[in-house]
Amino acid sequence: MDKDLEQALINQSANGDAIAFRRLVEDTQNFALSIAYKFLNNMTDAEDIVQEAYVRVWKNLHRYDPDFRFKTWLGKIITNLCLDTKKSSYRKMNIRAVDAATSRRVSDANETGKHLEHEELKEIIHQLAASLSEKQRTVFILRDLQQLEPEEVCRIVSMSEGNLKSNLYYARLKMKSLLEQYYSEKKRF
Amino acid sequence: MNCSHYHNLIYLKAELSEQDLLSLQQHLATCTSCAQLDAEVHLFQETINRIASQEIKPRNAAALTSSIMEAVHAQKSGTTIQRQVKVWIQENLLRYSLAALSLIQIVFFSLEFQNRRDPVAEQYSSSSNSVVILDSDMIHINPAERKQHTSGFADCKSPLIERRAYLECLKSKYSSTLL
Repeated sequence: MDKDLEQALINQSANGDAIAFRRLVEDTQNFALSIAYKFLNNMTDAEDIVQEAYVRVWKNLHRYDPDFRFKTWLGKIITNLCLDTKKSSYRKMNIRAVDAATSRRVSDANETGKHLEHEELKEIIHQLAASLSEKQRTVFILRDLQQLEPEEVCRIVSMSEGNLKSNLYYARLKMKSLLEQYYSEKKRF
Repeated sequence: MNCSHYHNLIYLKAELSEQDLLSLQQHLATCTSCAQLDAEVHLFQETINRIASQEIKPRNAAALTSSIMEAVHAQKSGTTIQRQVKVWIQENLLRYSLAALSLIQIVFFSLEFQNRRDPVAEQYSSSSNSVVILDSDMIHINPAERKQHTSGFADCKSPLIERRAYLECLKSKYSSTLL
């Protein structure tokens, strides 16, 4: 969407224009859902988070900083909501991640030699990402899975570029190691 | 620079400046172990990119938009009431505060006035300064005389005369009557 049009819609929405806000929602909801889904790996939960995020956006439109891209601001709200609401779930997932990956290895034993299906690979990546620290997981999801620009990720997570690179380095290092471990275990079966 | 420095750069290849990227490429051309790691990281990044390239779409985009707008409308009506209350408070706070303050002042001064003691009345309320007209003093005087004596008291009843002066006048009249 054109930046001027986007700003005009934001201004109209801030003045209570629901039709303008609906256009903003229609234009950005896929992006919002994509981030939420990559954090939560569950469509129903992701849709709930997206709904809650837009309510927050609506309530805080008067605080919108035009220096931010609207999508960056929306991404920040989505990320914070996902981190807040799923902290406990992630802890549980973290504990379960290795077990789940192991059980998958067993169940996939018959498929040795075949390539992992896309959905399965996605599932594995999400499970392994759950074992990263919160910062590492956040930058990994936003930069690698959502493929946002480094500057955008820095603004979303309020992090310096150096800090982002450091977290990204350790996240990739660990994810690569976990994936390799997964593949070698799978080959053994 | 040693290989560990380049290991970091290999993992952050997509975020490197042109200068760092050039430096890395020059090193990779001469270092087999770093080139091996670079190939592995490249494979890993390709796998991740395959996942990332998958477009995530809502199961029903129109339904999602509608549910978002319903939630916003629910919020909007709640917010409207809150805003109205806030505006009403902002607009009327000063007016009602002043009214309340005035009322408090009126009540305070009323109570203060009630409790206030008249210094003149206080002075004459003590027995040493009071004028006590006893019936027994007047009873032996016949009615004609009494009327004559007491008629002089009427001189003291002018509304123009101050209360203290009135009492002094009354006292002097009564004293002269008894004498």
